[in-house]
Amino acid sequence: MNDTGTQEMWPNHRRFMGRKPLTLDLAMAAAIFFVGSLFVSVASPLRAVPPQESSPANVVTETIHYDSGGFNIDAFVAKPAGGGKHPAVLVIHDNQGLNDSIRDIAKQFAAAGYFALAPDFTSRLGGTRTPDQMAEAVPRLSPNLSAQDARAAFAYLQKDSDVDAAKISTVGFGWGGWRSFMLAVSAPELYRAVIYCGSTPSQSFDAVHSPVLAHYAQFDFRTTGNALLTEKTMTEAGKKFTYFVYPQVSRGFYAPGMQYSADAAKLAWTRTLEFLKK
Amino acid sequence: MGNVKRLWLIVLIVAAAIGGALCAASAESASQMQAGVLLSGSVKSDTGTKMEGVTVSAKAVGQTITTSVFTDEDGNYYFPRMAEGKYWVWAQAEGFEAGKSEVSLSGTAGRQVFTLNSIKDNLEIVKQMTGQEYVTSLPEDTPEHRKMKDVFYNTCTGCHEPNYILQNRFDEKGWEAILNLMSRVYNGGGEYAGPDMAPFPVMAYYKKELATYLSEVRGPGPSTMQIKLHPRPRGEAARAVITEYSIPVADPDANPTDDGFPTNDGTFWSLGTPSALNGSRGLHDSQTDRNGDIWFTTPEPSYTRTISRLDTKTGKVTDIKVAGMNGLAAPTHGLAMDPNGILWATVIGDPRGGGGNLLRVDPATMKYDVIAPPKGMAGASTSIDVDSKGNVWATTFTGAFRYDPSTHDFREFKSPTPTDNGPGGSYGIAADRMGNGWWTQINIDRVNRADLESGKTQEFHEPPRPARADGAITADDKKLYELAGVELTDFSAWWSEGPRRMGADRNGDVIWVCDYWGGNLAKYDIHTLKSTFYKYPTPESAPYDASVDKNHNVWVNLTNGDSVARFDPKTEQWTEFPLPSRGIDLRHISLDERDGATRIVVGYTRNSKIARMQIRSKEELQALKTQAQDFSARASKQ
Repeated sequence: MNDTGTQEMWPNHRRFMGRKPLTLDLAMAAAIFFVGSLFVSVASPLRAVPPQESSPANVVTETIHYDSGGFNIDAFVAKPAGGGKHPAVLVIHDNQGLNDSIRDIAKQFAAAGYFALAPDFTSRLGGTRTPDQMAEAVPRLSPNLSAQDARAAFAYLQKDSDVDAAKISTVGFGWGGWRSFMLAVSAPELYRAVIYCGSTPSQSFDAVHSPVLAHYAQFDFRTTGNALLTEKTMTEAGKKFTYFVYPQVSRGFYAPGMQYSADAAKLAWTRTLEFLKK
Repeated sequence: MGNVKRLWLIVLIVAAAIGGALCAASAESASQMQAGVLLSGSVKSDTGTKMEGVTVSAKAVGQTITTSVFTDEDGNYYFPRMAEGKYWVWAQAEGFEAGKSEVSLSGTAGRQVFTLNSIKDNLEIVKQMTGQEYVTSLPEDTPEHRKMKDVFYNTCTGCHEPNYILQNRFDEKGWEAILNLMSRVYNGGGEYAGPDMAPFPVMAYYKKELATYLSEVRGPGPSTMQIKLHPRPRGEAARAVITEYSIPVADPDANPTDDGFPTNDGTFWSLGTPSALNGSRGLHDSQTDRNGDIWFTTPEPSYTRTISRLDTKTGKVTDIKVAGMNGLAAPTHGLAMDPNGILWATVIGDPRGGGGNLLRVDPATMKYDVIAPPKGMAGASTSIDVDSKGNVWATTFTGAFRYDPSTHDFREFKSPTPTDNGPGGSYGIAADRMGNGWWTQINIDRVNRADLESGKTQEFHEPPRPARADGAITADDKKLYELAGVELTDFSAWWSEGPRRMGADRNGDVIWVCDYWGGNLAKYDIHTLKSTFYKYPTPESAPYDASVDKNHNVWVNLTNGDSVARFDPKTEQWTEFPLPSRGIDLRHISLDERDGATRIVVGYTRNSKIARMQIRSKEELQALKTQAQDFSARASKQ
């Protein structure tokens, strides 16, 4: 219940819609109310996502579709102008969905020389959505099916003629962080995995082949508190794991919004690019 | 001389008034004594020993009201007079099998003798234990054991009692599976959040060590637990009469049970702590109205129940539904009564369903109003209190507000240390006799005071408690707790006092705060702002909420003890009063002092019952004893 970011928010309001929960703790009632308040604020036009910047001159964008177990998944592609093979980054959105912030991040990767593919995981539910509707739809997605959709995106990138298949990495934000880490577990050919404020899979660390970099926000306690255990488990499994904790910032620090921190976002971005180039 | 005459006149008037009152009182008690059937009896063990402090309960067949008393030092018990009819009567003591009987009451008196068979198998005895007894019995002989005991207590007992967990036995893998699941539930909600939810950091980090410890104490093999049972009540505590009202579940169709009530409601201790809420979830704060009926709030989702009235004469429950979201009733949490007898509750949950509003109910007419704080102001959350002038104080996520019903003005106060990034918002609240509001932040050990005059809030940071594991805490442990912001995620840190709910002395100058984790009752002087801490003898009993009676005594509900306790500030002595059911999850305490007597009212969150306790005087009990002896003498002559 602590993870009450605005940009990246846990879907706790579900508790009012589905099966009745167990014990209600006093403080939790307060937190539920608080989360509810945030939910409303997220669903309103108050959310401060800046208008989409025009694409940098050396970047071209398009919308593509790829198959995932018979489902058609839409994805935003940003890639460097001109031909040739490029290292690729699978950009996995947070629980606000594929919005302008995530598209902008994809374009920044493209400007840095990467073929960036940012799927809209809510495609699995069919139809099209406004940003607010998308934020409501993301929590309804099955964790395992969305992890499967990430694997299918990886497979798509492996086959794309513009992509250097030996250098496909993944960067997941918040909700997408776990999916990014899961891809490291399930795709031995993955080059690098970057996790922004994402949780760690509970098992199968032996299957990880790519180095993993994690960015954590100090105030994202429930996720960040697991950094030590993740480091210990990965080290015991003989895997490479590096993490950074960004002080005085919250879960959504990486993208424009109420929790955005320009300094922390910039530092994390620099570290991410360095990590992907290694 | 005139003054002397006037003095004599006053003395005479006072004497006459006292005499009249005494006559009225004795007439009332005489009529009470004459009405109904006197059920008495005795309890001894299978070795023939008289047993003191045994809980004896009686419930009329087909009814929802259970009355419980305790045996005295001679092993005898005396019920208040009850209506004629058939009753289930049972006697319980830890370490003994329950004695059960069906008794037909008619005429003037009835008698039932119990012989309780002792239980030889410790594995059977532990099923009867309270959460406090389980925790006290957990081994702490090595630094590692102390550390795991701390981790268990701090991490696993914030939302439910320890016996809820420890009544089960699993091997190491089994406990690990339980911890895996529990580490991935929504905080407080208890629903599995999916594999992509980060686990509670502390629970995840110590999972293997904790599973090992739990499998040693509650595993398939011999247990390392040293059973330490709480003493049975005696003296004043054994003079208590407790009336328990079984409350039908809110939505029986959605939660099918045998008869509209929970399938295990904690009545029989050997059945253990109710392991699920059995559809009984909901019942939270309770408050007696001026008519003697008890109202209660329901914070869990229900289609029918926002706030409810329990008729204490018949046990009938009447629900009021205030429209919430998706066809549900708006959930409520905190409950208090103002000086005019009006009830005030906090509506919680999603703001789209009314969460954050105040609910005003007139018990006389059952009419209600929903009052919303102004836009931009944080809404009401968990707790509520009303000062002596009728101003309503409610907690918010960021502090508290005061609502003046006469002017409809809201005034907001913020906690100096915000906890926006965690569930550590305001918890308990109380308004002192000066009209200032106090509230707690359980997760960060803060007690806050709003000063009406200056409009400012002052905070008090409670000192850290020593950990059992002191000396065994490593640098990695410290780093984990720092990263996890543990008090905001895993409920309690090694050092947490956990100020939970609180009560004001309306006739005094103090506020009493229950430190849930530290096991303290903390006194705050409202003028000097000095604090004094009084440790409960078994801190693991987990004091939760406080209510102060007209004699300045502080009544506290002990969540892990399934009991209430009274603290006398003059003697600084505690008296504990056990309640008749197990695993009851007490979360609130209120007093009913309408007619001079002090009755204690608590709601059983897990068991769907409301209990009202009154303590009989020695004289009252002696009168019943004499009547019972007369009856026995007459019966033996016949």
